[in-house]
Amino acid sequence: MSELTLYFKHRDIVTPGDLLARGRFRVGANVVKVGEDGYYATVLGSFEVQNGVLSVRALRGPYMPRKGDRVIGMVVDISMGSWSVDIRSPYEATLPAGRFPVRINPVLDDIRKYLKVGDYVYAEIAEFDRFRAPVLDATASREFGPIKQGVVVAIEPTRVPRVIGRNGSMIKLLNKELNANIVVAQNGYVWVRANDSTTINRAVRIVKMIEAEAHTQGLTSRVEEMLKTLKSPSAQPSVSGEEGNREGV
Amino acid sequence: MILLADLSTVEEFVPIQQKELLALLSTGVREDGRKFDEYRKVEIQTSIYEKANGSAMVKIGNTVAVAGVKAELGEPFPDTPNEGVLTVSLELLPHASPSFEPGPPDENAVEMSRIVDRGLRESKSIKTSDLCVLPGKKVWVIYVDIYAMDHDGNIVDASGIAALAALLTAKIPEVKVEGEDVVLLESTKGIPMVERPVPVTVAKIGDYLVVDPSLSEENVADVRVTMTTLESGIVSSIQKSGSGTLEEPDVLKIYDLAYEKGKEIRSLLAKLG
Amino acid sequence: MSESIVLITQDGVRLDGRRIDELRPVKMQVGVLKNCSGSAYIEQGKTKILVAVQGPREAHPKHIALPGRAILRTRYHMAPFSTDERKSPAPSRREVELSKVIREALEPALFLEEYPKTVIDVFIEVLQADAGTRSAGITAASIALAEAGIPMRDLVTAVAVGKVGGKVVLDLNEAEDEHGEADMPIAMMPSLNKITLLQLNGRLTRQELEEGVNLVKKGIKELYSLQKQALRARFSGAQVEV
Repeated sequence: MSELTLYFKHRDIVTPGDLLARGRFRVGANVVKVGEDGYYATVLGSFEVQNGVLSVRALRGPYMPRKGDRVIGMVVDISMGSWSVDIRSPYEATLPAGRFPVRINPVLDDIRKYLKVGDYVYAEIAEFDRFRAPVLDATASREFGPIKQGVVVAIEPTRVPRVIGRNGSMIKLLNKELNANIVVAQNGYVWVRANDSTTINRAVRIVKMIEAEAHTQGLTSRVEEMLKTLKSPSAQPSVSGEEGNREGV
Repeated sequence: MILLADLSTVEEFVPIQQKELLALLSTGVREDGRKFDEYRKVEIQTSIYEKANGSAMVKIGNTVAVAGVKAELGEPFPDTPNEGVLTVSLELLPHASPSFEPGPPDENAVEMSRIVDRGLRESKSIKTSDLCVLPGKKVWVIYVDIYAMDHDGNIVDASGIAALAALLTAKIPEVKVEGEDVVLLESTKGIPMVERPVPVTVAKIGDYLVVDPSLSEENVADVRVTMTTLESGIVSSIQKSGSGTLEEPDVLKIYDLAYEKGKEIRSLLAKLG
Repeated sequence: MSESIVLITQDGVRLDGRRIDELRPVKMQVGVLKNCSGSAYIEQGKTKILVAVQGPREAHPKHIALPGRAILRTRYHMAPFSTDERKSPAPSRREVELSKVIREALEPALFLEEYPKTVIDVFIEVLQADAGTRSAGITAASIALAEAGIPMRDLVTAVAVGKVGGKVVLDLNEAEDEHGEADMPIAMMPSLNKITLLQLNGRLTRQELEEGVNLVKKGIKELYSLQKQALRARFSGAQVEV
């Protein structure tokens, strides 16, 4: 009979090389099995044990593209038939003209009309594997395409799940209470739209707060508290930026 | 997986894959039939270049290195005013291997040159105080220049042994000091050496330690260690090279191999004129 | 070699008051730079080093990219003002060699296969040199890589042992390095007990070699625990700057 030993508790902070457990477990993210029964952390992060699966939720890390992920990127280069898009990952993405929401004939049209260098675009990853760079597609949803209004803010990709919340609960809460339209892309960009700049600023502040405290307990109630405070009559509107401002921070 | 030590390597033959080599090693034999602690045939020739004060050509298998010693009178370093100066340099000639490019030395060449230099220098085997002619003003400056001519693995040992052989057989003029003048005499003497530092390189392939790696063994080895030892058993220089790892017990195992092989090579050198 | 300085007394007290198995005071901090994937700063005695990590990012030019893994590039560089005599900013042969051995000390720890065709850059800048720079550089680079979230088998920890005044000692300072008999920097992946850097210059007997390897483990163990502390502090104080 094999013994199961855990050397750390759920939610403990672990570092690369930490021996997490011995025995028979299933290996989740950022854990490596060495030898017969040793499980080690490979990143700095929070240890999670759930249903016999050992994993470590990384504090930080590069965004690795996955097919189906919705991402926001910035155009960094243009060729005749496609845009090169920086999606904050080790691999640069391509958005072919044929995957743009509007029909374009790249031979007749200068695609720069639709998206130029420095513009942001919202799309999904249509293809990515070890042999080819990520290919984006902006046709599948009405939300996809050039970002022309609101604000784009960068957060750590590892915090994205917390900002979204379980089944989107956190983001739904924010959108409802702030009366905003916040879209969180998997690669750590957050797109905030609202009717006025005060709301936009509030939304950005809360998103940054969630990012900073993502690993702590009681975050949801603190967010609810903060939302209440912001909605109260005594909350002053803050000095704001402009509508339609695109900030990649 | 072949360790891509030189990304631009173009081999005439396909280097044996690590897995196959490991399978062979598990039977106790190396690709060329040698035992793990066996050197290839070592040939040493000395005094081959008349214009050098000392010279040697060393062949280890098909690897060839040539060393020349030139001695000149010069100024000492300010912090060692009464000591001679030793300068050692190793260059990999472009024709020695398809993977060597002409141009400034790459990191491998720089590393090898520094390994050979340290092997000689750190051993303090050359009595630099005996190379002082006019204290604070004139000392013997000994230049050892080594050229790797043909690369079939283990350039470091071939180069270090060539340098040592050249130094051991070098002749520098005796001098007569008259006031501030130094007169070079016809008669010559050797360079004063107290001990004979010999570099020995061991490669680790999988869990196996093999002495004097051939080129294909080098290409497949995760790590190489060069240790320079003296007849007294002192080790004066160690360099681990390559992206692999060593186990703690490997350190003494490699020392013991290096010391044993160092003795063998020293006895070859003793047979020289 | 005539010595006018007593580097170590009969009772084993060194010039700076340390015992033979004592590290210099060490300070480590992770996440000190904003615009890179990971960063760290270390002080070990008077040695001060800053490390920045960039990547993984696309390898340029494309032909240097490896299909199956990331390439690790390391630059060890000494600032011109880091030494007593100004050091020329151009890379010296020593810096070229150290960049290589440091890279080879870090590589075995990284799961480079996770990021094929990319490059990970490690920049080690020595701001003040008082011996032990390659070791401290490795120790700091390792936590900078961990901060960047690059998966690792273990941290890499390094320190030098040496021989001073006839005794084998831990963590040489500059005076000891200059006037001592031997200097042996060693790096390890401590949990896996594997050596990733091993160099010696100077003279040691077989027994001293063995002593040195045993002594270095003590220093490495202490530094390893400081590395983990620095990383945990980064996690807890995680104020992510933008």
